[in-house]
Amino acid sequence: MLPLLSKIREESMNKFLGMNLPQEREEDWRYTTIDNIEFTAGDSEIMMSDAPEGVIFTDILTAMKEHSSMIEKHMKVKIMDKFSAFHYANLVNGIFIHIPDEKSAELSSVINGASHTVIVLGKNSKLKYTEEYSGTGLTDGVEIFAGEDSEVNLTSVHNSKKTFSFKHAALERSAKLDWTVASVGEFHRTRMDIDLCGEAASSDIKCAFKGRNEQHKDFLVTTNHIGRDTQSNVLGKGILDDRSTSVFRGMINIAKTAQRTDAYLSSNTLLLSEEARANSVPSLVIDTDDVKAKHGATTGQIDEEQLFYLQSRGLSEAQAEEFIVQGFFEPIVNDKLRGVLNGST
Amino acid sequence: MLEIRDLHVETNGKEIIKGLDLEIKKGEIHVLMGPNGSGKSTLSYALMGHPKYKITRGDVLFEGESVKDLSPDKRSKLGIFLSFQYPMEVQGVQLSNFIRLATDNKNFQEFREDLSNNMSMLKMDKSFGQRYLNDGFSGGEKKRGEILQMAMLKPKLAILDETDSGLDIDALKTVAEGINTVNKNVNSGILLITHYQRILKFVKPDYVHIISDGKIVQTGGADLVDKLEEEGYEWVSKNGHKK
Ligand SMILES: Nc1ncnc2c1ncn2[C@@H]1O[C@H](COP(=O)(O)OP(=O)(O)O)[C@@H](O)[C@H]1O
Ligand SMILES: [Mg+2]
Repeated sequence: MLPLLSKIREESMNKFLGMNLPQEREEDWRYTTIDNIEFTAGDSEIMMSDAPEGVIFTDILTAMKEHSSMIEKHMKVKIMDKFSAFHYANLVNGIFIHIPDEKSAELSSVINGASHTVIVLGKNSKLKYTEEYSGTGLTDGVEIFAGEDSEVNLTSVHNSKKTFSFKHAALERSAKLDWTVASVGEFHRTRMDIDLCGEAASSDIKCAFKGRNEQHKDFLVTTNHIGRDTQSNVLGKGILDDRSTSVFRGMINIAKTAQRTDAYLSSNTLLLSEEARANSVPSLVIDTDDVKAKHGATTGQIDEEQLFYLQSRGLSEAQAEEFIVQGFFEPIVNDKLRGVLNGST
Repeated sequence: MLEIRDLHVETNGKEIIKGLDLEIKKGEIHVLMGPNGSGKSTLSYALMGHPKYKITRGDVLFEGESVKDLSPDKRSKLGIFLSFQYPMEVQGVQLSNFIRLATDNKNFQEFREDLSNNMSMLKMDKSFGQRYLNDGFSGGEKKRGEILQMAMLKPKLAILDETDSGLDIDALKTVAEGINTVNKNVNSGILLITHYQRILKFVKPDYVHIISDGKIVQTGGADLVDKLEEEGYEWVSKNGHKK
């Protein structure tokens, strides 16, 4: 095995063995019950689109052989809990993307099973990337390093059985990140950590989730403002039906160095049944003056007045409901996501 | 066409409309005026079938049939339209798509032309159609949007609940033109609810009714408006309850 890979796996496995499962009394896990977890790595299969010349778009094992210095420089093994330890301990499959300075690319992948993706963007480069997850992999991870003035637009679609996702991005000066994560699978916990390191870096994170039956969606999105003049927006938007549940945690940390920061955090959840439950927990930690930080959350059923309004123009109750539900995600979806989120309820 | 008989309406357990009679024939323009809180919006909601406004006594006949147990969409399909005092915002639903579904016009070309004509009549920019239904519209834009929907739906009866309030004079003229056009072209009956006289410079009523505390207390011609202008609503309460 590759020395880099075996080192990561071995160290992570030791941590994994020494860690307990998170307890419900831990604040981050209060609304998420973890039982029947089978720690098995399972198979993993990846399909990738073609890449333009000069751009590296390859599987992670090949990358560890051929581009080991870049991987070593940018891959941060972030172990935060037993699941992330398991993730790195079983790292076998994944993707490496490198967009050189000034280059741009549009790429996509379909991932079935566990995987780890490392994305490195050179100065003033651009990437548009869509990744789709399905299958039974227990964990998946994405790490982004966005160089100065780079722009990255990411769409992540998760339709897996029971998954823990780890998404991390570090942005240099004036880098821009636009990331939409859609979760429609059975049980999904997504942990996102966005570090706005360089000045004037900005991130726009949109989490869309849809739950039915007993499905559970858990988002923990942390934005760390480190550079000055950084901007962040985090939006959680979900529809819950039947007995499905969700928790949306947004954390904004503004460091002393992050003067003139602008941060906005909001979530809204539409409940289609009496038994569905949504939890929304914002938290703001601000260590400097001269910042703008706001948050807001709404949770509720379909507005009766909206229904009446649409019905008064001749739409049946069912049509009116469908309109409101379909319109709900419309402000944040692209063509890909429209199909995923507005498909069968 | 519309016959309201001894109508009683309650909401949240409180009776608001307390025995109201009114008849509107095809093509007639009726103005309903009255102080704030007299029950004008309650009457409009009840006529359109809002689930929170319950008809406890009396009946509403439309073209001879009772509509009081019909859902709002059924009433709309029969040809009743309500322009809301406060139109609802619905995110993600484009105005033109919504109108297309509401009009149920299978002929796309014809629909497009009709929409475009009506939008120019109401001095609305084309881009309006792509915007989400009332989302982020100004007060005046919302009211124009309501009149546009009326013009497209071509109702037999249009109830306009304070469509004139909050409009500047140019917008008021535009909205009035929209009302007159639909009244003329489709021969719609109009129930124009207002508490300002100013729209009556541009829309000429056949009848004027004054509502107070859930009942119509005066009915007359356009001259009733002048009287009201001179003497105010106090005159109505003093002379009330005679018809
Ligand atoms: N949903 C409601 N719940 C409780 N009271 C209401 C409701 N709607 C209207 N009312 C009351 O009914 C009365 C008439 O209101 P409304 O019909 O809006 O009057 P207008 O439109 O003439 O100003 C007011 O006293 C108002 O407070
Ligand atoms: Mg009113």
